[in-house]
Amino acid sequence: MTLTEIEPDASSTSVVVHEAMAPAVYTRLPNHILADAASSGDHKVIGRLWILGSLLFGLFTLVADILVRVERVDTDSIALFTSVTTYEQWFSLHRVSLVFLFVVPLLIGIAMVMVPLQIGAPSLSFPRAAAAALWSWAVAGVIMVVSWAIDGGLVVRPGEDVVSQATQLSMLSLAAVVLSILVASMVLITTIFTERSQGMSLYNVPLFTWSMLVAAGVWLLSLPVLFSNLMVMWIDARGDAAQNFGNARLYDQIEWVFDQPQVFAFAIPVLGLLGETVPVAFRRRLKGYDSAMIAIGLFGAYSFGAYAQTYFNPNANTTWLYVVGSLLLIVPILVMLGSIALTAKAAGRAPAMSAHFALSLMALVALLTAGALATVRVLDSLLAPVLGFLNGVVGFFQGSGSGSGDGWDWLTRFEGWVDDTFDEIFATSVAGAMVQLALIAGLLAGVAGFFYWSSKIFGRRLPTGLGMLAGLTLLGGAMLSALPDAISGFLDQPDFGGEFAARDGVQALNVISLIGAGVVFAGFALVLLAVPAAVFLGSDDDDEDIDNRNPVGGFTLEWLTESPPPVGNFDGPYVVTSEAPLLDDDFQNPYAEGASA
Amino acid sequence: MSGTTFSSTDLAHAVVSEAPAPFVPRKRTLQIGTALVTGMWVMYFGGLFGTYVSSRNAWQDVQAGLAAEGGSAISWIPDSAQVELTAPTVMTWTLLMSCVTMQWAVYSFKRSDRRHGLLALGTQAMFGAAVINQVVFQWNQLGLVIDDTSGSSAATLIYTITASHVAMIIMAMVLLAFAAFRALASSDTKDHVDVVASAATFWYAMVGLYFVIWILIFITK
Repeated sequence: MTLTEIEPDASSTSVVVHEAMAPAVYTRLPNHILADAASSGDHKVIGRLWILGSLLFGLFTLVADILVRVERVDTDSIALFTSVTTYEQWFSLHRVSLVFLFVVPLLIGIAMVMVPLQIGAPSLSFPRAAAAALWSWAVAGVIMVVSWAIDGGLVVRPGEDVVSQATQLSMLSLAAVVLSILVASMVLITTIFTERSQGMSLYNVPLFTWSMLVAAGVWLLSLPVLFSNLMVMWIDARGDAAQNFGNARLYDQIEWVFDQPQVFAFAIPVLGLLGETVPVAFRRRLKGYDSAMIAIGLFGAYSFGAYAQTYFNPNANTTWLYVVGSLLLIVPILVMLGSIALTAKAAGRAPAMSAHFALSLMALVALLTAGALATVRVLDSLLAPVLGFLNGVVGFFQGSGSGSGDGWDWLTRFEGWVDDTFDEIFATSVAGAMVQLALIAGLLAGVAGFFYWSSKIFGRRLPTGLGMLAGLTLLGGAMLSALPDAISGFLDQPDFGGEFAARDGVQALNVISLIGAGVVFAGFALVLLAVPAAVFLGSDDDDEDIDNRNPVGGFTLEWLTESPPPVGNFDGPYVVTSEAPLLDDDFQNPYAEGASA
Repeated sequence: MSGTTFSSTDLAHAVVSEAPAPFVPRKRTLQIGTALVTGMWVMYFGGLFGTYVSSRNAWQDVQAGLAAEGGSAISWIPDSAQVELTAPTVMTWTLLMSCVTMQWAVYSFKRSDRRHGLLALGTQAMFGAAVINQVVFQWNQLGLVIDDTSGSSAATLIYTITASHVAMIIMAMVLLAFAAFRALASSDTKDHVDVVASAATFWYAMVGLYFVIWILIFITK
């Protein structure tokens, strides 16, 4: 016989909190703000702290970028750093921190604040896990930087038999950073799956939310592989004598994360953000919303790069999956561009220029350039076989079916040129240029989101002029630093590029690249200045005609709540039927003119 | 002094109605979250298995080349190591049996059968502890050392893979404990079937991954 529980007596379950047990009135001191922030499970507080942390780490990352480029100006010797290994340590640190301490956390922070608002949810799923992810990321990030500073890092010094404890600390702290980002991704995906408003299916979520779902999904599937790389390295380093993993150039084992196609996974929200800013700029729905959704999904699928580990499989970058995937990367970007063009045509008027619209377009330009460089890097694997096949066909007909012809001479020479030119560039600074542009695209998307939703994030809109100037500076600096690197790559400058015999012109190009890095830093400083400028010099919000809830004229649910949103976000649940509910005739907007509150 | 004040009326929200609230099924938050975490673990092991296979193939290719030139080939798992199949096979059977008890737990929770649910979870935890015990025994039996005497990376990878699996078992057991505490604290275990179903999802994935380890490392060596 099975025993089942008996329904408990209702009266025994009632709980009454005696007012006498609690003080009638208590006061919360202002110095509790820090404690409240540290212990908060509110998605807005957590998101703001992610953004703040990423901006602080961003300053460090961009300074490291400048230092690395200063060293590269003189390719004959090591001047700024004490040795080639130290230079390589800094090089790997700036790449790792650019992704895991700066761009990805910035995007996560914006998503933590905005995704629940966009889907009409009062909070995140697993808010405590979100807070745990934030604090473990922050602590692990600091430990990681410190471990590099005490001569750790992911480049083992030549001749070292025992892997230093500082290096082991670098592995573990990076693993902790990755784990934190994985937990944050899990929280975001679960929130999007479970907390959407009534009527909001996955087919009509706002495009930024969709892009974060795709991005977090790709991170969730690819970054555990990075975590496994780090664990193998660490356990190897803990052994009596490391074998092949813990004592090799460790950065090479995880380089796939900072190379195509994986690096594009950190720029997926660029496309989503365009899906938000373009309709607002043209004051109409996005044309081709479904195509844009598919494009973002495909971009995510192509950017999954855990299979492309050239350290373990040197031929990984010549497989058809890699080559075709690298070629197709650019297609979703072009689809998004087409969607923007159709929207502009349907609107029949010029867009309302704003900082967020300009910044998101700049992010698209950077991403398109990075995508073009990714295509160039696989041209050898793609074009040489095609040209060889064509020449074989020509030769077949030249020999009247006997197959004895040599084909066209010019085609043979062209095939040889393609083979010579593009075969060698894979590991050169062309790769660095592509990585730089893809990540700057992610950064520009983050900054665009920062400006677009500033009234929700900070409670104030940021100055439009400053935003546009920052965007132009960031994009200009990125182009100035990346394009010379791309040219240097064709002149055989390696990606790391510490101490080597450079061909003519490389050092001059490196000087231009250094200037570009300085301009990027200046652009970032302008972004940081935007918040104090809005506070002390006033912002567009000071105009009384501006609607506090919807100052930019957006069409999605986040624009229904106050700026900044209160705890719980919304006054009530909403029923939505499209991706832009505020444009729907049947949507009951309690704040629309003529609506009863 | 500035500050925010809370009057006693704010505390009125804390007063729970006398009448019991109707049971509202929870959203599938925990199940989706657990499925995502399980996916992370699967990809983590996918990375480890990929590294293991590519390293083993590369090693065997080099050794085959050496043998072809008349040299003496060294095996992937050093000859000094003692790789017995008994313990891994017993572990595989233990974990397969645990799938039955896991399903027993889910079934009991669904039927509000707390006693059998807790019994199933307890048996489940015992199976988990037994597997950990066998892994530790096997580590001692293996006698693999991460050193440079053979040049093979087998020791590093085998320890990483098996230790990671132990970590996964421990995490699965924590989830079981979580489900058990929920069952103990609730008036009706049926309310918490999502918790035990989530734990089951994770447990089955853990068993499936061990099956791959069994074949990849201990059968095909």
